[in-house]
Amino acid sequence: MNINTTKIISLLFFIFSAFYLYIAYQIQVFSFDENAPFNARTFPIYLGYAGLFFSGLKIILPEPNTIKVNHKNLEYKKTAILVLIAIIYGVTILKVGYFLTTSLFLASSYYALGERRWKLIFLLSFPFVGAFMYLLHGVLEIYLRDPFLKLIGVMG
Amino acid sequence: MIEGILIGLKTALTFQNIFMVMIGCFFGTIIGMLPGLGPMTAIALMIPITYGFDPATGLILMAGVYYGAVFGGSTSSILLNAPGVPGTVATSFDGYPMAQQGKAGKALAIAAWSSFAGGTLASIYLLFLAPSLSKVSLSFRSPDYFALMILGLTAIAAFSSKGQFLKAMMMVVLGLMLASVGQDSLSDISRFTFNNMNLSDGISFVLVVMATFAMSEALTIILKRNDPSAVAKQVSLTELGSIKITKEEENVYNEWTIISKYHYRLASMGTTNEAIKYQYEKGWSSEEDRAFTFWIRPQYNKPIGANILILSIANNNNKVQFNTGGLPKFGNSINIGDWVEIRGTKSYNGIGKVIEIIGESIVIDEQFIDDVTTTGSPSFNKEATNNFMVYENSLLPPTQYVSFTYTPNWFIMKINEVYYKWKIGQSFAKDEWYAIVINLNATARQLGLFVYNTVETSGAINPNLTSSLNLIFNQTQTATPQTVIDDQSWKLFGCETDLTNIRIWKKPIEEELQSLILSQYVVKDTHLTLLLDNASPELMLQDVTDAR
Repeated sequence: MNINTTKIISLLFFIFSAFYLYIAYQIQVFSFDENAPFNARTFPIYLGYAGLFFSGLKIILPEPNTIKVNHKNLEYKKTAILVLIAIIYGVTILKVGYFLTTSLFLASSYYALGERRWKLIFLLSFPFVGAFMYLLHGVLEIYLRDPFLKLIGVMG
Repeated sequence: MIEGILIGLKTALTFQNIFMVMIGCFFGTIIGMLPGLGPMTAIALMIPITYGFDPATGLILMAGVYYGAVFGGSTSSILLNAPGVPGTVATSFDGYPMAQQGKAGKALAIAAWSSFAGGTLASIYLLFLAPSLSKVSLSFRSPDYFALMILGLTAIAAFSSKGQFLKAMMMVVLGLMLASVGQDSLSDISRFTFNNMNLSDGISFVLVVMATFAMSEALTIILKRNDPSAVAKQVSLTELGSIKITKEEENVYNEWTIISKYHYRLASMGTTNEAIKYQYEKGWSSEEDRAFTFWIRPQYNKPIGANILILSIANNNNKVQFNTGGLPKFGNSINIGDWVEIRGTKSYNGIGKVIEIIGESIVIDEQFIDDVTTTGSPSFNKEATNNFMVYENSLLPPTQYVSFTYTPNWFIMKINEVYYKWKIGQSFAKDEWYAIVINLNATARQLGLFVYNTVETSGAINPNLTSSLNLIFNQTQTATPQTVIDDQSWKLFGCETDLTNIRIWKKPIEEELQSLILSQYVVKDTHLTLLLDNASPELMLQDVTDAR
């Protein structure tokens, strides 16, 4: 099956532009600014329409370069798992803290990508993140909020 | 002014200050290498250290850190495609592809030299032009900034490659959409923050760059880890390669070129007759890469022959023999050297070269494996064969070391005794020009075929559109590197094709460059003379035709 990825991406961008435009109309401006020729809402609204226009054209106009993609060679499952792990990482990092989430993210990513040497998985996750954390805190004095380390009493 | 400069130089050239520059550059480079940490972070980290120094030394240290961090950013751009700082985004455009070709060392060396030269020259300019520049910068007002932004955005339309305008504009809009997140600079109203405090400052540029370059690169690597071409790229990424930039590097590509105002009408010669013999007599070693480019235009009238049923399959001196009820005797008859497409057999389906004809049987240049058929009606049919270019010795019969052949549905390259065959999805149509690129990559052990056609329509050639090419086929095969011996002859053979712009290259041609290279030297004006570059052909062709 030939899937023209450009068309799919254009369609997604079209939907995104429509959503952006909807949100742009919801922007609350000051009442005295409501009828001003240019307020905080004007530029996003034009941008939303521009997005709809360009992506719409891209969907409609013929695409000369259709390169066949051999889907058998592509690892969709692994990529999807990794994206899922990344999303979980992004959602939990603020609540749990840098050390634990990053270590678990690295360990689970290594596992998902096919690494089965547990020693290596461990060494390149927890001690590695610990060393990096020390570099940031101890040496460079960059503060990273970490509720988990605070809970176990490592950080003040 | 000179007096001031001399006092400055005297301060800068003390041992302590030069040492501080070195320390600053060293640490700045390390911090800059970390994706996401840039010159500003590096300087901020150095501020506490400078408290103890006198102001000049502190400033010199910070300048060293700044330049080191800017240069350090190029390392992650080149090796990871993850620009550490906004200034090195452009480095990743060229640096990362170089790293993929195993030339990371060279890319890093070029980045170092360019950073040093650019930084030094900029400092000298600033030394002399700072007073005038300050006047210009002070005169910049909102309309000027606005004009500058418009110039930047319109430049995208100009710089987006041909046929990519809409894509470029979509990305401009996306960039502006991302930039509109956060507080409005005029009214401080929050836009698109969804009540999230982290978004009120907007999305940082470095974050966007990391997401678009580094994250997409990581996902692409995982997605294509089983893809043969991507695997080869990763193989070369593990090699840093030499950091030496040799003079030869400047002219690394072109090995041999035959460019002509006219194209060769090989159909004017009898099939398999030698049309041209060149004095370029070079093969290549098994460690060397090569690329071949040319333009072909099929001239066959009968592209596909009649379907001939295979009655049985036999072993003929370890070659496969197809026994038929009768071969066509006139019209599209089958001759030795023709290629036939075979179907309905267990082991020989595809294209095969006829090497012998015995009565109503043909012998194919394929190893005999079995005599099993998979369908009730195994058959073959002749495909119009264009064996247009060979590299062979002068014995009779000659031994062919390299040959290029195409049929309406197939492209075949032979290196020594090995055939590499590609089934083209879209058939080669008569009177259409096709541009071909064949990349032989010895390191990656791959042979790739790229077929382009033009946007020109037959009969209405617009020279201005010649450079617009559409990739219609692209497939890479695994190839065992082989040595092709020197001192043999490159020849063009008579066949039903037009041919021009034959070039042999020392390196595989990256896909991004192929359109450009194929369009080079396509002679658009008749005032240009017949140009035969660094080859001296022994011309035996009867006639040459109009400029393409």
